[in-house]
Amino acid sequence: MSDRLRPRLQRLGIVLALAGISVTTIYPLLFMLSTALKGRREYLFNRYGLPHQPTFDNFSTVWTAGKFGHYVGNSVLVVAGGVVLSWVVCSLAAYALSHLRFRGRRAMFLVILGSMMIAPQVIIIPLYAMLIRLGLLNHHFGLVLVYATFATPFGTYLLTSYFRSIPGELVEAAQVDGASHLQILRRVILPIGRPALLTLGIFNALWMWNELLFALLILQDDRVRTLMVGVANLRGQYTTNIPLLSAGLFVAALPVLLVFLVFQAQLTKGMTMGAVK
Amino acid sequence: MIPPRHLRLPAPTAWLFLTPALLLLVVFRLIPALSAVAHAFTDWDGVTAPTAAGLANFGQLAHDPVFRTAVGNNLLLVAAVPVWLLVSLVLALLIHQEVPGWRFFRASFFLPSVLSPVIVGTLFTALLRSDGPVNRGVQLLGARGFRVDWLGNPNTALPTLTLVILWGIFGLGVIVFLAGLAAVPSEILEAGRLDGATGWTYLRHIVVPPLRHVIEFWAVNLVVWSFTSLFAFVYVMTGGGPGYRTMLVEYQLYLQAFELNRMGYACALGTALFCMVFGVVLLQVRLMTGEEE
Repeated sequence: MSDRLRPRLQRLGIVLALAGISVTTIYPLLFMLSTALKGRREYLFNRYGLPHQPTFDNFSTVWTAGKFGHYVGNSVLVVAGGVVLSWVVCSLAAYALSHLRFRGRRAMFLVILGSMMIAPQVIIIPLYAMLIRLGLLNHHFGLVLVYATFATPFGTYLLTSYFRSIPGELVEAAQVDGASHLQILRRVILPIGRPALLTLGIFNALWMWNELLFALLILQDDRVRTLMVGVANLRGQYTTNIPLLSAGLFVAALPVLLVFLVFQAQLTKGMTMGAVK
Repeated sequence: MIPPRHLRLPAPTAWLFLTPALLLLVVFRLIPALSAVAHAFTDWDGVTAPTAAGLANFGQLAHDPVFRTAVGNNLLLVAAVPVWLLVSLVLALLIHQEVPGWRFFRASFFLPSVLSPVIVGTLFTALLRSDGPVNRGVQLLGARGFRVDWLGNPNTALPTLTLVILWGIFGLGVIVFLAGLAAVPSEILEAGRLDGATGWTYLRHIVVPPLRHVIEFWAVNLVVWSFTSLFAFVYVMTGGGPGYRTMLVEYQLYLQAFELNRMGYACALGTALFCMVFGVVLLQVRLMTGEEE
């Protein structure tokens, strides 16, 4: 009897422990949503309960007065540019590294991957000075270039691994048909490589949307500012207006939460890439 | 998979395809890196031309109490890495057994790590206020009148910051270890159980050996992160304070460069930071490419 009961109790204990940790990851988000729906007055006397008189005032305030609508537009622009540029740059490089034979191929692969050694903080000052010289400070394109640069090592690594699994015979057959390499890449490799491109795109969109340091320094002007910088500033302006702050956080987190719900598999793949062969 | 000789491409095509990637990396990563090292030996305010300063910046660095505190804090974070690893590994192992609701647990643990540190940090400043839900929770557990300004109190600020960061990324570790466990034949894990190995012994002798590569990979990642990826947490949560209790090297660099306009000194800080993580990142690249060809 006890021999059968023990594993069951053990299992129950495990489930309860895991559920406890789930509470700590989900409660903060529920607190954020519930607080965002409260008026400032209601928050004073009903801090932890569900909102009795839900209001969307906080959302409209951050969207218009807090300029979040404007910041969202800027972020979308930068993320879209960064993702697309990274797709182009990385698939070109990955095609060369996976299907073209040339002297120094492995060395190039290592050089591109090895550039990860240079952390953003280390180069931020000369990079900032250079963007000023190039006239790209306070231009979305400046941040797009920087994001694409920092996405290159991992993106090239991910796509190279995937392209390698595509049989070389396909490339040869297309060559015999007289296709150029650019055509082979576009018509043969990229269609087959779509899952890898999707993984890379989701992964890049996520970190570019979330990034603070480069965005803070490169897009300083309010006109071009991205959403995460807007959130950080909102925090400075409304330290005590928690409902308003929560609404801002919710707006900034919502796209990420949606992407997470839909593309969890791709995100998992992107983030475990390199750990498991 | 290797094309026959007559089909091998002329090298120029390959280099053409590599050009955009190399151009970006050289212009926006390599040149700035070399420039940073060069400017570490100068006095520079970012506006007027830099003047040569020899080793003065590094001499000052060696005696800078803030830098010393920051390095100490960074090392404390690194010292917490084994805990981060263990938490993620144990949770992954439990989920791997497919207990009821495991898909939900996996998703809910993963969730925080997709949120921006800006969002996580701001959310927790609200949760951790003296009149916030965390203190309220402790009060409900029986400690009446309990009130700690978690991020404002010099004694609790750094541990609290560390815990928030842990909250932000432990789920990523779970995901990584789950991917690793999926590649381990279940007989190995089962056999260990049947042999009666439990707890620590089971973990050390049955689970860790086949996962060695994954654990190393993740440990290296965490160490690099604790030196170079926590800027946003500090920026929105503590600003390095109270005093310098939560100052990190990367944040001191930011302050020196963009608040105090001491670009030369900040470049020296960057160079020091680079040296600190260089060895670790080298290991990271080797682990990612190790079994190649």
